[in-house]
Amino acid sequence: MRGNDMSEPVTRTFLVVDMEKSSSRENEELPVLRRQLYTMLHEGITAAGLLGGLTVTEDRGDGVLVIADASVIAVLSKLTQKLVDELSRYNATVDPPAWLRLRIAIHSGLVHRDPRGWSSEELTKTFRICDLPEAKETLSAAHRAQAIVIVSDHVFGTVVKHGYSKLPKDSFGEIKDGVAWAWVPGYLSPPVPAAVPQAVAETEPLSRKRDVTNSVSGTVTGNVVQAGEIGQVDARNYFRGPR
Amino acid sequence: MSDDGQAKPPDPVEQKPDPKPEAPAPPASDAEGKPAPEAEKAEKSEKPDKEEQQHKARGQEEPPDAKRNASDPRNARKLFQDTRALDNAVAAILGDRSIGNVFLTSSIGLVDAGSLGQPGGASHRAVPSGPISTEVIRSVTATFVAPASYDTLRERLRSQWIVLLRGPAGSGRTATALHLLGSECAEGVAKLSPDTSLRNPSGTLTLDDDHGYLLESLEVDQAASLNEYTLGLWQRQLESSRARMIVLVDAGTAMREHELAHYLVDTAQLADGRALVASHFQVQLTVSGKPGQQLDDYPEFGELVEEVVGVTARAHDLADFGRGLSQIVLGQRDIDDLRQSYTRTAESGFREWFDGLGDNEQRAFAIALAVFDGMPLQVVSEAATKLAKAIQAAEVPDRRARVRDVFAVRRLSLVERVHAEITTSVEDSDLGSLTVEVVRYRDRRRPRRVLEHVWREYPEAHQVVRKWLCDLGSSADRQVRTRAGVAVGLLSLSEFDHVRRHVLEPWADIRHDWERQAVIGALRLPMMQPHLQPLINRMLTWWLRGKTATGRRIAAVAVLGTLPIMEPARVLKLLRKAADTDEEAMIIALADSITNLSLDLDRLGLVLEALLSWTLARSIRVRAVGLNCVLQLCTFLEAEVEGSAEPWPGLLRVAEGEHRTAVVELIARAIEAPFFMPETYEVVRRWVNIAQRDEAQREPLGALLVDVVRTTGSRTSLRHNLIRWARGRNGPVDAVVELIAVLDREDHQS
Repeated sequence: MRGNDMSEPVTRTFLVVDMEKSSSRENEELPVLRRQLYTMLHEGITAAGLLGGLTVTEDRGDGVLVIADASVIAVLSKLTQKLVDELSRYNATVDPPAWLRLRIAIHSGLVHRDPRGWSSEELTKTFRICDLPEAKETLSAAHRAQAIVIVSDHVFGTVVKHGYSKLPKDSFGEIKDGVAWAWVPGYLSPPVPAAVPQAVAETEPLSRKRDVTNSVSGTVTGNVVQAGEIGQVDARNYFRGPR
Repeated sequence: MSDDGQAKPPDPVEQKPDPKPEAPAPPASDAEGKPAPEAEKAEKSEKPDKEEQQHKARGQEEPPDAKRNASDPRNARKLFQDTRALDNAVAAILGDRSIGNVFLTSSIGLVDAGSLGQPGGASHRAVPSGPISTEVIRSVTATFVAPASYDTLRERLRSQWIVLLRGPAGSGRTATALHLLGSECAEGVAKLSPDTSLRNPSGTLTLDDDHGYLLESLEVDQAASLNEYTLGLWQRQLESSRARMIVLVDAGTAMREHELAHYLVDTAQLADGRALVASHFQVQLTVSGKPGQQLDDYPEFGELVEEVVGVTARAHDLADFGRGLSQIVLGQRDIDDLRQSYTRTAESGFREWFDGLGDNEQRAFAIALAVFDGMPLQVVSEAATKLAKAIQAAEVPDRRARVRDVFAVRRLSLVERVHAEITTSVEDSDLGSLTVEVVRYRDRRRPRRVLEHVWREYPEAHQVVRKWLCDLGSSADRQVRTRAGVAVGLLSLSEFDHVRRHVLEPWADIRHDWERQAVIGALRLPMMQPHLQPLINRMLTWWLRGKTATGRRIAAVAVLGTLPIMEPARVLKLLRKAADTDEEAMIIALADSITNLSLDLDRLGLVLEALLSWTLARSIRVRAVGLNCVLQLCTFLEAEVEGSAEPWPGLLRVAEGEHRTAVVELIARAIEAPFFMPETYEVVRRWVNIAQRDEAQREPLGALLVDVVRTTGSRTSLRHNLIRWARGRNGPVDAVVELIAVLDREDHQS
């Protein structure tokens, strides 16, 4: 990818994809789903015109991180839409209990690269909005949805709400005040559950660092990525401290 | 296959066919429901003596008895056979030889017949009016190839709530609309009745949140008068209801282009024919257990694919072709067979073949085989002989000048000459299944091609073929009359109104079950054509007018229950009007329609709700019809349940779910109605006998009976009957002991 001077931060668009309820999948099932996920991502990247080194992907076991040298608009309107379309196509060939459903989080900002991988506060934030309990609850409530698309408040305010590239701005709803907005394709507004269960409500705020420290590419130190759910399957990510 | 021995008795009051079939038929009555002069004349023209003779000739003496029909489980098999015959006929004429794989959408079936899919066809099912099942949306999504205008269409639908999608027939418009509505409206998609008017958005439709609506055809006069103001009203209505709508418009339909440009999206002939073939190829292999196969992995198909894509204009045909390629990979078909069906050389070869048929005997055999492809050689030969005679009669009007050499035609050489083959097939007879020798074209697409070719190229033959088919519609053989009906339907695609006047209405007017079945068959293919759907709806509405149970009214009732041409709520409303009757034939038709509708689980709730209303109606006749329908549902329906040795009575199974209250209430009403009490107890006795054989059903049956007696308030009759049945010879003692224990428990608790 261009602009990879390791000492200087660069502005990138981040897309984090995470499988819903991957921990409940059988071992035999996961390789199939991962293969499907990568195929769908490839289709999305192609549709967005981001082939040719404009993206890097990092495997997250039951998810993928994409760092794109492209505008948020391209990632949100083209890549994400194609990803959802391909997801629908795949799910049409399997029974609903076996559906692959995704949380797709999008944010942008500065990011550093060092020999071990990419890191920055904005990248961390992308993982956090992907992992928001509100996002999980909303997808869980949207029984017929293929995916939930979560954008940071910043992305919503600077891109979505202006309706660039005919994004369905009216279908986005704020799922966490001042933090994230979501769009559930197929729904006119995200079916946010009326009352968030107590256990969920008591989850620690995003601003507070958790003991979970993880790495995009294997490093175990530094404030690179904090994602409680990511890495439950991929052994490379079993570097977590106690919950 | 004949129904001579078991067919329903004729309807008691028969009506002569339209005395002037050549005259155009206006609506049967005026707006107030007063019969129109022609309808009146038709009713007055009833001649019981002659009709009685006609039915005696059919070997039917007994008058119809709706209650007896509804309480005899053997009649369920007849409904199943009717549906099966229709599916087979449609599959044969469309060239699908995989019809054995019935696509199950329902776990409820008919007694002694196994589970059925939605009535009216398996893979050739039209998209029904009303809620569209998720299976249909999924099947479209799995193979969908987006046309060039898809992104624009999606953007417009998101921002404007209503879009007019215009394109040529066969371009995949319906699939595009269903796919888009399915992806944008996750809570469900419904197809609107074809006669839905766009003139005024207020009041007529109930629009639900996050639902999508498809109007598959916009009539020419509606399209011409549509303006921006009206669509603006629709837009606001849809937005406030949070629903979206796509309206399909035929390419070339005159509209106010500039005014409506904002709402119009044009779609091209075909997006990407090769991609469509590849998509269907891949998905078909995936569902057949061979995932991950690409069309490109089979270079040997390359040339054929290029040729077919180059000459095939319809998305549906390309989809069929893609599935055909997958069948080659699966070893179910060979490539020459597929080539013969789709390539241009095959097309010119076909013309040479037909035009080269030596004489009328050969041409008649070719046409008869097109109608009866896959049926016993004897059936095809007899039909061919009749047609050959009819052709000869048309060519040589002087009967004395006609000469036929009885030994001139050798059947096997005829079979060879028309490029057919003799094979074996399993037929469904009254006594069970048996293997028979059947004759069929080697090219499975030939039946349709032959009929279309004759219709397009030989207008002089129209009348002869039409009359021949019309006569076959009165055949005692279920398969024959259904095939004749479906063939008439195929021919009607190009001249529906003519066929309506000269075949459909005369058939309906005969007021007999056999011709009624031919009518249903004849409407099966036209109802898949969006542009014909409003006409068919209007025709049925005309037929339903009036109060007498004319042949047309009964036929309309039968069609409404069998073919998903209108939204279920509207169908039930029309059936409710027809239910104000004491005509046995009409009551039977109503009960059959209600039974067919209830086989679709998505519609079952509406059906039960309607019956709850009917059985409380002010009109005693409607109440009786409602109770008769309840009796028939109790008798005809059954359900396969995992872990049970015996199929469950359908309503017992339904009562285990969300519709329990309705089922309990309906059974209670039937058991309390003096006129239906004995038959309803007979139903309960059958259920107890089943529970005797299958222990798993005893507890649910006991719980249901407890709820029923709680509703009726009378326990003694049921107890008395249970004990009486148990004391009978080989009585269901074990089941009765358990059921009484459940009742005792209930008594004790209360």
